[in-house]
Amino acid sequence: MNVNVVTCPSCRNALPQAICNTGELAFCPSCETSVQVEVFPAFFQSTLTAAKAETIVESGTSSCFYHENKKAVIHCDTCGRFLCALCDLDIGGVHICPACAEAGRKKGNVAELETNRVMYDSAALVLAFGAFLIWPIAVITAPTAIVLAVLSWRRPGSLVPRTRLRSYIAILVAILQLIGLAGFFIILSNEG
Amino acid sequence: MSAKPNPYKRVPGIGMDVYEYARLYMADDHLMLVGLSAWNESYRRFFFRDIQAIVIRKTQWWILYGALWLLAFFLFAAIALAVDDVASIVFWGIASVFIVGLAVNVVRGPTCSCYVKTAVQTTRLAPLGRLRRARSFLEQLRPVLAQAQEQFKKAEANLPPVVVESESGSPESPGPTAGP
Repeated sequence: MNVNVVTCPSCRNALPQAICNTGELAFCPSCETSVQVEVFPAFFQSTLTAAKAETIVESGTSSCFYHENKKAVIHCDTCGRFLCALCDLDIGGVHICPACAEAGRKKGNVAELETNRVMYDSAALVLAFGAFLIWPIAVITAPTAIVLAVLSWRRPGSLVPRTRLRSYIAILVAILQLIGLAGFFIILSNEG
Repeated sequence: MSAKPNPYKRVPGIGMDVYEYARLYMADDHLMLVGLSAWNESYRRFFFRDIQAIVIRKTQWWILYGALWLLAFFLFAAIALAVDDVASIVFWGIASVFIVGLAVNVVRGPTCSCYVKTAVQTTRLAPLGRLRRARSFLEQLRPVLAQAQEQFKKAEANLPPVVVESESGSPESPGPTAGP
C-alpha cells in the first residue's frame, strides 16, 4: 500500500497529524526535534483520480497522435498534433507534446525546461581574478575574460534578474592586468 | 517594443549547499531554487500545484555561530588589552567586527532548515536558513498555495477519511496520509 506521509527531516519517522498545520513549532514524537509542518491540499492529490486518457468509443472522434485509440483533448501549441490527456504537457500554461518538449529541452528554447545555464559573465570574472593567483597566465586569461564578458551580452543570460556588473568588473580587471603586463614587459625589455 | 518583464522575484536570503550557494525566486506559478557555482546556474522548479508540504526544522547552529563570534571577540579583545597604542586600537577594531557579527546573529534569530515536499522529492530550501524568515515566507506562500490548489481542496472534501493500518495491526491515524 502506497501511503503518502510527511516525515521528520531529522529522524525520517512519520509525523503525527496533531502537529500539522498548527502554525507553531512542535516536537517530533520520535526525536523531539522542533518542527513546523504545513500540509497543503496537493498532499491528498494521490488519492484522487490521476489524469486518464479516455478511450474512443464512437467513430468520428479525433484521436491522439501518439495513442490512436485515445481521445484527443487538446492540440500541441508548437506542432499542432492532437494530444490525449496523457500526452498533454502543460508548461507554464502552454500545452506541448512530449516530442516538442524533448526538442525544446535539447535546443534550449523552452526556458521552463532548462535546468542549468552557463554564465559567461561569471566565467569571465573567475578568469579575471584567477589570474592573480598565477599572474603570468594573465597573458591568456585577461583577453579570454574580455571575450567571455562581451559574449555574455549576446548569449542568453540568467533566467532570474541579473545585472551586467560582473562582466563590467571582469573587463575592467582584465584591461588593468593587460596594462600591467605591458608595463612589466616594457620595463623588462628596457633593462635587458 | 518593451522587453518582457522577468517573472522572477527574489525571496530574501542566501544559503550554502554542498558545493554551491543557493537563492530562492518566486514566479506566478512556481518557486525556483537557483544554485550558483563558479560559472553555472542550476534551476529547480517547484510548482505551486505540486507542493504538498513545507516542513521547518529548528536547528541549534545559531548558538554555535554565536559562541564562535563571541570567542573571536574575546580573543581579539584580550590581545587588544595586552598590547599598547596603535596595535591596541587595531585589535579593538578587529574585535568590534566580531561583536557586530554576534549582534547580527542574535538579531537574525534562531536557525532552521526548511524543506519543500512534492510527490516525488523533498528538497531543502537552503536560502531559508533562519526561522523568522522561513516562517514569514510560509505566511507569504500559504494564500498563494491555497489559491493554486483550490481544485484539490474541493475534491478532498469529497474523499472518505483515510485509515492506515499500523504495524501492530490496529487502525490508527499516524499523520496526514494519502492513500494510493
